[in-house]
Amino acid sequence: MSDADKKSGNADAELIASVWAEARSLMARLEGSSVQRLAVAAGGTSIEIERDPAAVPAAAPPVDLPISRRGSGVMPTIGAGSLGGARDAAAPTGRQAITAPLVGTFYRSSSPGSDAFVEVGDVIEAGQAVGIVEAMKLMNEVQATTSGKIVKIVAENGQAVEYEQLLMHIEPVDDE
Amino acid sequence: MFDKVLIANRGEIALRVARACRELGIKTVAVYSTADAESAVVRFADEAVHIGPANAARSYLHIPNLIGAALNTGAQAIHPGYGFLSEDPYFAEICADSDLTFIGPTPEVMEKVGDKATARDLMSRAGLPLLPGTIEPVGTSDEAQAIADEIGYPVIIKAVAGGGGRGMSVVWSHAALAGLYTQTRATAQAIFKNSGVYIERYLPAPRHTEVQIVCDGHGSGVYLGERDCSVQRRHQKLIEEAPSIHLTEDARRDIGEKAVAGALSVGYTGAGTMEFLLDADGSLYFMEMNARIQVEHPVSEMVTSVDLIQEQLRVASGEKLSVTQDDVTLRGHAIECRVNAEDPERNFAPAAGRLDTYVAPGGPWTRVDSHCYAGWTIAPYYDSLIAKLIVWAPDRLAAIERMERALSEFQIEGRGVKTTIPFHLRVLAHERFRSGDVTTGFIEEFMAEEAAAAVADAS
Repeated sequence: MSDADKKSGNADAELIASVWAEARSLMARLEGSSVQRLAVAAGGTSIEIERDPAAVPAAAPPVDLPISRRGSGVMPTIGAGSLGGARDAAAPTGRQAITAPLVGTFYRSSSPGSDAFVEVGDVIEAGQAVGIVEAMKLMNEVQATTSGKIVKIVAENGQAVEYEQLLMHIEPVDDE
Repeated sequence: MFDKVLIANRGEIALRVARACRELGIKTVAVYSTADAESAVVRFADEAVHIGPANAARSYLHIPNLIGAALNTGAQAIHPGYGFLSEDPYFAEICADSDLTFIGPTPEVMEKVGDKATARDLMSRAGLPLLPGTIEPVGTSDEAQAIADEIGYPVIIKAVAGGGGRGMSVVWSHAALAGLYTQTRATAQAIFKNSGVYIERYLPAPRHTEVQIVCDGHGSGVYLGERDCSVQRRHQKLIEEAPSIHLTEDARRDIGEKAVAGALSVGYTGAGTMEFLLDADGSLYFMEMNARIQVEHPVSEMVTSVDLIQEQLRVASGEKLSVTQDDVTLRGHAIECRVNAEDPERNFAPAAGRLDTYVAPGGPWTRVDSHCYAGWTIAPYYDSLIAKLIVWAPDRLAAIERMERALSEFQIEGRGVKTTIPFHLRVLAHERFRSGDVTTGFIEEFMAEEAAAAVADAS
């Protein structure tokens, strides 16, 4: 890669980061409004965000399902194995799951090379972005459903995820 | 042929598609909502992806999740089944944008045939017979009056964007027209966000007759005979059969050839159905085209030996149809009964619940297309279909008798669960059904007759 390419690459990354930052601040200001779709464009970069106002970020059950389950290829019979077995029964009290709000690709940062939204040990507020799930070129922010400390990050950057797949665990922090 | 296909549907049709894929050596990806995590197709498919909560708007109708699931699993094509997104040109377009093959016609063709007025116009030009009436939406009340007077009463006013029996009014006299015209437009606007209406002659006692076609991308198309679906309750089909006993061999060939010509004239590819009304004098009138596989497709499969889902997959992958018109011969008679979780004694109210007992009938020439098993719960979020029971026999009466035998074998029990099986048995036993003297008004008359008999018994 030539220096010029690198430079333009950096400039692109900066532009993307700034557009993304702008989009996020707009999103924050739109909180509570009924706006569903938001597009921010600058130069050749654009970010489109689609919100689902109906989606109440209720505390999702910590279900730990893999993206693809292999079928047995046979028809089910009475009382065939329940899928509930994968539930994270061992989670300590208070620990909550942050799960994927939709199907897509999970990213821990807003752009390649930039810092991750959160790391293990970070203390964050409810509603704060902890990652994004990209679907159909739309970036969908994953928000913490509760305030607390990130204790474990399960999903990897770039991993394909399905609906309600476990991404990370958050634990409440005692205010003392 | 495809290596892997995602099935963007649930219930019996998702399983039906997965079975066809397996027979063709295609890997399958099922998608499921939280309510369907333990469904038959999830267990049958090679892979399964959780796409959203029980609410279909956020799962089976949520396009980004379906596309995401297809891309994540490396599926090359999406089969939409029926209902949900199967006739949504926007979804087909997004599939194409994501380099996924939508198993169905192109978005442009789907859009054309999905608009009733456009479809009628195009099919009329291709030579299909229409009921006397307008093709273009009628603009004013005066215009409507003039048209209706010319056609002769009764006429029916229908919403351009309508469907499922909503947004239509029958007008029996000149005096009633203006009021009903205004009222139908308002209803159409409220329900379909489109106030456009058209007017045509109303047939008081038609038979619902539909022609199954399938076309490939190489300019070939075949018709697979017709189905009679006159046994309907409020436009919901209950019993379907193939062939119609009211068409002569010549009429069948004539309407079949016209249906294929009409489909090819708009560049239609895949399986589709042309709906007609059959009048008492034998005339057929084109009503609309359904650009998808239909619930009742098995009866056509049973009398033609053509697997329609496999043909859909072949055609979508760019291959030619596996049959020519000369290969298609109708043999015997097939009947389908839709077994729904509904209570016929309580006006067909949904009667869903957990199926403690589910034992499907078997035996010769008996086919059950169902996703149910003992322990499965018919959830209130989706349609109430438990099973499609299909039988074949060399002639219609033998098929009716076989259906009675198969229905009586069916064991479906659960708390709060009621089915349409007892209702089907009473219909099959009725002299008018057995003689084939059935029009779209039959079920209403049948129910009125039963209600009258119950009153007489009580007094």
